[in-house]
Parts: sequence; structure tokens; C-alpha cells
Amino acid sequence: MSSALTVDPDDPTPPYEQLRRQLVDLIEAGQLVEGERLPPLRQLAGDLGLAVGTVARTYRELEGAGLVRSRRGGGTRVALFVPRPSPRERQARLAGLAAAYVMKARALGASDAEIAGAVVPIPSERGHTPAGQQAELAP
Amino acid sequence: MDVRIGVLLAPLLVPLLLLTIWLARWSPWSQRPPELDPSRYGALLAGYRKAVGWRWAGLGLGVVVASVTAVTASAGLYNLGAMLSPPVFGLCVMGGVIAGELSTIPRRQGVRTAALETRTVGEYLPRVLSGLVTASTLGLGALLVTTTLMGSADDAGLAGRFLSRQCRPEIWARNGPWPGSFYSVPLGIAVVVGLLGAAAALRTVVLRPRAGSDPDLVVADDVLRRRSVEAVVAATGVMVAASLSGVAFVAGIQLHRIACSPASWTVLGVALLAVGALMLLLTSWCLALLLAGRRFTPVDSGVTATAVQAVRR
Repeated sequence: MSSALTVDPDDPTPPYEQLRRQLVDLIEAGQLVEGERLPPLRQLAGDLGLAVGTVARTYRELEGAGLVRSRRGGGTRVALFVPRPSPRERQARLAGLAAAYVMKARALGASDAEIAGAVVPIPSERGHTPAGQQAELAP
Repeated sequence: MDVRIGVLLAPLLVPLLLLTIWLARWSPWSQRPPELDPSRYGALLAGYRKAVGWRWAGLGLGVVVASVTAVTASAGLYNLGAMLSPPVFGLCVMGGVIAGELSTIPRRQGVRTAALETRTVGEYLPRVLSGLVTASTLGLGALLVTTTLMGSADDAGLAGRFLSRQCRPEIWARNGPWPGSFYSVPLGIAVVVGLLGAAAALRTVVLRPRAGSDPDLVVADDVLRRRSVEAVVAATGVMVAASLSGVAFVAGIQLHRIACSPASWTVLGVALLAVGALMLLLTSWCLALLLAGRRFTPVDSGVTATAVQAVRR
């Protein structure tokens, strides 16, 4: 997973929730470890073109969930050590993500072949396409 | 400063100017364009050119405003304006840096991405130059406190404009101008305002949004940020070193010239003249950096390692 955060203005999900989900995923996947500092509010808000209050709300939600802790002058840091998910949990989450994708794609009117074709080949982090990489779709 | 002190200091300005030109143009530290591929970083380089344009505008404005301050604010105020011109110059340069950074903020359209990184001022500061400027700032503060405590009123009753010493019970030696409270308080306030301006400029540089999270773009963008931070530190260096140089020279000369000065005053005077000369060299270096800037490549930009690591993690 790339350690970059993305906000899609066309996504109906509010930006603070988009950010929250990505940060939760990064923390739970062990990409952000305990004690690691999150970007300062103003910096992240500026980089993503969001209001500072939007990012502040994301951080508040994460703090409320016990995933991060904020200290005056010390920034916001990952609070919790979350063990990497077991292979079974990982498989279940992957299936959930794939199912959500398939559902959205079908709602768009895409055929099964188009749905599969859209994720093969999967774009890598830097825009290159590793040969032979395939996405796993939920049954 | 009175005319005699001006005559003493004037010959120092010629080698200072020559040194500045050499440092800026022919020395190993002179400027080369940022080593970035224009085909990949066209937008970034265009932003950089815009920022440099604003910085030069600030520099030009600084020269004009500082000159006007030196002349107009000195009339009837015993050359107080000459003392205030370095901070005025520094503030104008910092204003140019801030305007330049704000002018390069990218327009955001569509999906936006940001690297998960923490940018701090410390990561972009040039170590040696920042250390020298910090030491000079502390030195200026200490010297201004000392000269303020030693100052006394002049013949017209203006407090803190002369240095006086009792030679015998009924005989006092008095020399001026002396950087007592008459000069040191306005100068101190102007330098503090200048330092606040520098802090604002550094904050603007660090918080300027990136145009994306691509690792190579992050590396290139950091090169340009380091250039801007260096300009701010150099402007602060001009402000502080030129002020310290002026105060040290005037104080050193007066400590040396005053009648019946004790040996300790003479030694202190010589030491201050040496400090004044060193500060002229630092002023020259900072001016050269402002005019030219050192070469930065993505490779020798220390912060990039952190940024790339953050992005590629």
C-alpha cells in the first residue's frame, strides 16, 4: 500500500470520512506504527486542498476511536499497536473490498468481463504495470 | 553614525562588495539552475521561476526602502535610520519570499493526493548558515544589552546616545554616538519584527502545498523548498550580521577613542572591531547567497531521503 492519502471530490463520502478510512487502514495494516507522527493539520489540509477543520475532524474521530493521540506541541501520533490481520481476516477484508467494487461496477451496468478487465492489469504505486498481476474478485 | 566613523568604515565596503560579487558569480558556491529535468518538472520549474522573480522583487524593494529609510529616518534623528536599514531590507526580502511561495501554490482539480509525511522547518534549514545566523543573533542581543547599560545622555539630554566615563572626580570624558538605548531599543524592536517575519516566511515555505505525492516530484519540490528556506536564512543573516557589524564597529571605535579608558575597554574595543569585521564577511556571504544561492540537487538535499522514505514506505 502506498503511504499517500487521496481525496476524491466526486466521491459522495465526505472528505473527512475518506481520510479517516484510509488512515484506519494504514494503522491496521501496520503501515503506520505506534508512535509515528501523522502530518500536521495545516500541512495535510493544504496538500489536499481541504479546510483545516476537515482534517481536524478526521483526527478527532481517530482519537475518539483510540487509534491516535494528540498532544499540544507534539502533534498527532499513532497510539495503538494493532497486530497485522491474520491471513483469514485479510482474506475476509479483501473479499469485502472486492464485493463492494463488483456491486458498484454492476450498478454502473458493467458486464462481468468488463469488471474483471478493469482490474487486470492492476496499476502499481508509480503507474507501472507489473506483468502477471491479477486482482482477486469476490465470488 | 557621524561622518568620521563613516569615513573609517567606507573603505571596508569596497572589498565587501567585491567579495559578494565573487561569492555570487565565480566561487564554487555560485548558483547553477536547479538540476531538474524540464520535461518532467516543467510546472515545478515554472513555479520556481515565479518564486525567484518575487524574491528578486523583494530584494530590489529592500534596497530602495532601506536606502530611503537610511536617508529620511536619519534626518534629525542622529543617523538612526542607517541603523534600521538592515532590518528593513531583511523584511522586504522575506516579504518577497512569502509572496513567491504563495504564487506557486498549485490549483487542485480532480482527485488529490498527499504524501503521508511530516515536513518541518528544521529539515530544510542549511545547518552551517543557520548556526552562524543564530549565534550572530544571540551576539547582537548580548551586545545591545551591554551597550544599553553602558550608555548615557548626550549634550542635548537624549538618553543612551553617548558613552561617558569619569576620569577624575570632577572630569568626565564623553564620546558619541554610542549604541545606547537611543539606538539599541528601536534596532532591537526592528530586529525582533524581522525575526517574526523570517518565522512567517519559513512557515509559508514548509506549509506550501505540494502538487502531488509522486516520490520524484517530492524530491524535486524539496530542492526548491530548500532554496527558499536558504533565502530566508540569508536575509535574516544580512539583517542581523549587518546590524551587529555596525553596532560592534561603532562601540569598538568609541571604546578605543574615549579619554582615560581602562585597559579592559581598549581590549573590548579591539575585540568588537574584530567581531565587526567578521560580521561584514557573514553579511557578504549572506548577500551572495541571496543574489545567487548555492547549487542544490535532489541528491544532496538531505530532506528528500525522509520524504522518499515516507512516500515509498
